[in-house]
Amino acid sequence: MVRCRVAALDDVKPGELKQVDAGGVPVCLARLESGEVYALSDICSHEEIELSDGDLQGAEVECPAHGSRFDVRTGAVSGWPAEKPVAVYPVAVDGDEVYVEV
Amino acid sequence: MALDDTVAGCPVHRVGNIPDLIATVRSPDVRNSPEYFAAAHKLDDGYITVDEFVAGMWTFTDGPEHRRRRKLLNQLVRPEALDDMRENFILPTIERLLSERLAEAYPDGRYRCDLVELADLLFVNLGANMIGFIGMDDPVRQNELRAIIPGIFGGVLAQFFDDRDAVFRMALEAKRDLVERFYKPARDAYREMYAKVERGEMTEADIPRSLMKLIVSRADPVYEDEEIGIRDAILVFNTAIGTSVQSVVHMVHDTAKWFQEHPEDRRLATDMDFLTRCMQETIRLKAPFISFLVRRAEHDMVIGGERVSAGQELHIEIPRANRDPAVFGADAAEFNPWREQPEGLPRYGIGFGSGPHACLGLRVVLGNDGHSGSHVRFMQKLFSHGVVPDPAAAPQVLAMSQDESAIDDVVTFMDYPVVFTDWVPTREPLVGSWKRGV
Repeated sequence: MVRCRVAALDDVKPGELKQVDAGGVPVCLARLESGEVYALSDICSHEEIELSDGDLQGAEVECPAHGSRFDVRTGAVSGWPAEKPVAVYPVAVDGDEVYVEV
Repeated sequence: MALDDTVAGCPVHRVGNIPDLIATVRSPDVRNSPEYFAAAHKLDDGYITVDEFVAGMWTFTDGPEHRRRRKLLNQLVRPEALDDMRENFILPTIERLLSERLAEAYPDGRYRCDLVELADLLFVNLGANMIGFIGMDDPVRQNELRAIIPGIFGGVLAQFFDDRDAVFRMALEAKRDLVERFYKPARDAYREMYAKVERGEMTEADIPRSLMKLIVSRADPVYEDEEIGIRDAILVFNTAIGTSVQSVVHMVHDTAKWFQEHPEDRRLATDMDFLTRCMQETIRLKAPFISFLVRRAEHDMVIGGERVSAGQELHIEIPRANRDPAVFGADAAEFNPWREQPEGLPRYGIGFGSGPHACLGLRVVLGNDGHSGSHVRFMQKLFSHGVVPDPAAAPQVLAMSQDESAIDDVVTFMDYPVVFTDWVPTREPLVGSWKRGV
């Protein structure tokens, strides 16, 4: 596992998504309204679409193309047409910095 | 042979296998051109379809604009919207329609109706609900809207008919009726609701979720042009009704035949997982209920090892691709709800399309969880009352222009007589209409 600094915490507002690069891996950062930050693959398992271009609703990200939904905490599918989960990655917030392990 | 000669001799390139089809419809070098969809580049009157019906519809945009507008419209099929649609609209409306149409038995003691009419009425209401049309509890308005359907379909799909003059006359009249009697009253009602929001008399969250809400609130800048809103409404209208009706009628047709040949499965007639498999098989074999979709190659490209040149018309043969034995097994052309799911593809194959233009209604048909869809619940209700094709009356299909891509069983049913073998009329009138907050 490689620990990558991917963003400043202020770059990810509560309730928003952000596309980052973690050592060459496209990652979608999701910051819940409660403040917690999660990291999941930025590529939808249904078709190759950037999840970070979608919407965050509660703890679910909605793909902008076809509306597939994933739980950002586990990567599990919570809405079709995706049938397979997406990868999730450990996140550490150290001060104002966000780190992702890939 | 020079590439230009190939194009001159064969202006159409057919794409009829899954790998090539997926690569083609996902390619940035391929456009969903309204002119090509309407055959306007080869039919003098094709521009009537383009200019009056389809140009500017979200599905005839590409790239970032399409992504932006599709993302916005995904709001209409979010989980809470699907639950609301199914529980508060679809199911009670089915109950009401069945009790109205099956109130009296025929002289032979059987309960009959036309499944196309039944599905038309259900999905007319669903389409109206998604668009935001008002006053739709009134059966007179429901029938007025239903009467507009053939004209609107004709306007969008005139290229598939021989007598286009008559089709366009009917289409333009239907569009005028749709706009004046349904679109504008809904627009005005939503404007009034937004005025109430401005005055602090209600909140925006109280305004019913619908396409009209997005249009009136200018949720996308394109809705500054009212004609774009009208065309998006036409698209929702056509897909919510036309494709939905054909999907459920074909599904009953296919599943009833399956039960006849596999009586051991009749015990599953109301099992949602089984019925979802049946719906997915019907979608795989027949969706989008025409033989092909049309795209335009924007640049010279290679599809399946063959050269295609800029401007060439591409016929995307979804039903043919979805019957590939190499992907779906030796019986790929047959309906089989127990078919193994192929690796890397859903059970419905590419029946809902693929790439950016894949069907917005997928989640309505199959549900957020893949097995609680509104259409499947409709089927469950029909099979719970023992729906079977009427042995005394054959269904009628629409006569359309033939082409070399045609597949015999991909037809448009104009009527489909059915019998309900397990129906007990309700003595009390059912109240099943769904009231919007306007």
